[in-house]
This record gives sequence, structure tokens and C-alpha cells, in this order.
Amino acid sequence: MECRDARELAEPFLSEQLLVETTQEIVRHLDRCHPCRSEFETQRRLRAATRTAFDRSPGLQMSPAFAAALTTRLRAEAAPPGRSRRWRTWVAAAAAVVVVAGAGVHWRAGEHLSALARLALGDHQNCAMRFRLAERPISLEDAQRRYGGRFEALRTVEPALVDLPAGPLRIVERHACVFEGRRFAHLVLEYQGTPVSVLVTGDEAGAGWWNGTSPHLQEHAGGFRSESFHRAGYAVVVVSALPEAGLDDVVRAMAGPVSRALEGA
Amino acid sequence: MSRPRVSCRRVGGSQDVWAEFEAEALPHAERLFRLAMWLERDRQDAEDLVQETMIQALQSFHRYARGTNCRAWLSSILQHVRSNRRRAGYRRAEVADIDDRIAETVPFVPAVPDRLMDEDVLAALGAIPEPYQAVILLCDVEEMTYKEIAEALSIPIGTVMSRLHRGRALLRRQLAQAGGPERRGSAAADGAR
Repeated sequence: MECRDARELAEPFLSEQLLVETTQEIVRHLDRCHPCRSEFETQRRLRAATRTAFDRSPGLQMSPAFAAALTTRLRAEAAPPGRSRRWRTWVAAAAAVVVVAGAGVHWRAGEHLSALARLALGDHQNCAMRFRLAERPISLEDAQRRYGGRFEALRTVEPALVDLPAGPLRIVERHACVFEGRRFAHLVLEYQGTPVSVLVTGDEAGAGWWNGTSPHLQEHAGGFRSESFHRAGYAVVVVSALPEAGLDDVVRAMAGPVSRALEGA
Repeated sequence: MSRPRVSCRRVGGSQDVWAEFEAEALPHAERLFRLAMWLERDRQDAEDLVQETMIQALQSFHRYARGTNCRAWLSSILQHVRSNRRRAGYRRAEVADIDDRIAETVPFVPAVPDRLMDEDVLAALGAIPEPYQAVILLCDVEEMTYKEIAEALSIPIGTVMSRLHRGRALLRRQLAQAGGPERRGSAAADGAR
């Protein structure tokens, strides 16, 4: 084999795409030809450098938040179909008394919270998981200055319990954001490696329909669940792809502190 | 703003499918993201691309041949998803006669600097036409075979090989220019020219 032949085959040789016989011929040529050996080594070095540069480049790395959101999204895709929307008694909040004026009011309250829960789900997906909102989130302090309300009070809310049955619960982000015209105070938490959003929005209208803290559990297609309750003129929606028990854990840990913050206690 | 996606197609798979996907495919997500990020040059677009790729992979996981190169399989899906998006008008159309145009302009292979800095390599790679970047990345970084690259990019194997050959020559030219005379190594290829 001549140098010219060997060099023409350098590419498939280094990619290990040649037949054994041809590979052996090249190896024999390289054994006796220093310039070709050097050229092949240069090409090998360039390939390794490309791979290394690519793998190490900080600008190309996936963010931990996206990694978690991706896993959540995929897990939700893989989950068996959930049950359709349903009502449920929240055992953990049994101390609260549900005041229902009648079946019609009950239904309207459910529809009302369902609409809010859908907006909250949209916010969770577009803000906490995909970081894609039309309007950039602002701090809770800014939101308080601009819009009043109880944004500031949520700035220091902490879970009642941080060591939950399936692991630690931590707040990773607090801000105010807008989804489809609805402004939320948004606490982003992480539990079992899954993002959880606690979304609080002003809802005076709902107060007349929904009284108490017995939450409204909703299962959305795509594996997401939300639990909603009303307190002091605010609707609170907790959204996540966590299994039901996991979501309950978070609601138990957050309902008290969030309620107290909204009541100004 | 688009409405939240509250309904989506179900996979119909069991926990076993998820467990297998999680073990087999999910570990490649980071590498896949780097490729997407490089190709898209925009984090949001890259995240969308990876998410769509992984969802499609999950939905068609039953078609993945166990024991084969899962990373190549995922890269292939990513290329198809990206290609479909571009066809749908996401991006400008790929120049059809790129190979013909470049074929006339590829110089002889220059020497490579002795010391290759990550930023120089990536800058050089980014400076060559995109079709050449793609084959080099799929070959060197994703370690795909020519056949896998051909399938992923929907081009003949011969085109893969010619693009690799020309792309590497262009890459070396870029690196030689970036390195400057003081960082250039010896002209290793001289002996055969």
C-alpha cells in the first residue's frame, strides 16, 4: 500500500469501518511509514479533541432544572392513564370543615377551581419546567410593590416539614409570574427529584363558592395532578407530576404555612 | 402564547417500559442535549428538541432493538425531529448543493496546532458549513457508524464519507488559521503530498 492509498483510507480506518484485511494492510503501512503514522495520529488527536471540547463546553451543558423537568415529563408520558377528574376528601385536612351551601354551589366551586387549576398547570409546565413565559417572572418584592396583595408574605414561607416520608422537600425558587393573563405568586419546590409548583393567585370571586381548606384534587391528562384550596381570598394550587401520595405530602407540608401567610398571621 | 398542554398521547406502556427506558435511554439525554444545543444554538430550542426527541423515543421504544447503540438511535430520532421542524419552516432550508460548492474550495490538508484548546476546536467546528459539522459530530462525538449517520441524516453513505473527508479538511484549515504560526505544529502530512 502506498502513502496516498493509506491516507485516502484514513477516515474509515479511524472510524473502524474497514474490512479486516484492509485494516491490516494499513497497519502494516503505518508500521514502516513515519509521516503517515504521524498524520493518522494527528487525525486521531483532532477527533479526540473535538469530543473532549464538546463534552466539556459549559455552554452546551443541560441545566439541572431541565433535566429534572424532562424526567418528570417522560415519566408522566409513560404513566398509565389516570382517572378522570374526581372529587376526594383530603384526609390530612380533615380538621377543616367544608361548608357547602348546596349541590349547585359545590359544582360551581369545582368548575371555578378547575379553571384555575388548568391555568396553574399551564404555568407549572411553561414556567417551572420549560422556562417559557411571555412575560419574564419578577421577584415577589417587585410584585408586592407593583400590585400589592400578599406576595411579600410568601417570600419567607417555608414548609412545615422538610423531611417528608419520601425524602427532603426544598424550595428552589420564588417569584411572581403571569400565565394567560393570570398573575401567580409561584413557589417552585423539589420533592423526590420532581418539580412541584405552589401557585397562589387572588380570587375574591371564588371565596363565595369555596370555603375551607378541603382541597380539590384534579388529575390532568399527561400525568399531572393538582390540589387546590381557597384561603383568605386567594386560590392556592399545588401542581406536580408526583404520584398522589407525594403530592399529598407536599400539600400537607405547605398548606399551613401558606394559609397563615395569606391570612397575615 | 400557546395553551397549556393538558392532554397528550399516552404511551400505553407499563412501569417496566419506563424502567427500561430510564435505564437505557435516559442516561443519554445529557449528551443528546449537547448535540441539540450545538445544532440549535439556542437553549430553548435545544430543550424543545430534546424533549420532543425523548418523547418520540419513549413512544417508539418498542421498536428499539435491545443491545444495539441506543445513543445512535436517539441521535437519529433527534435528527429526524429537527429535520421535520426545519421542513415545517422552523429554519431556513439546507443548501442543497453544499457538497458541490465546497468540493471546489477545499484546500490541501494543513497542519494542526500542537496544542488544541477546546474553544479553538469548537470555534473552528462552528465556522464550517453545518452539514459538515453534523457528520463530524455524529461520527466523532456520537461515535455513530457511517450507516447510522446516513440513516440519521437521510443521505447516502457515500455522502457521509465525502462530507467527513471535506469537513475534516475544512476543520483543519480553520484550526490552522486560528492557531497562528506560533501555535502551528509541524506539517505532519508533508511526507505524502
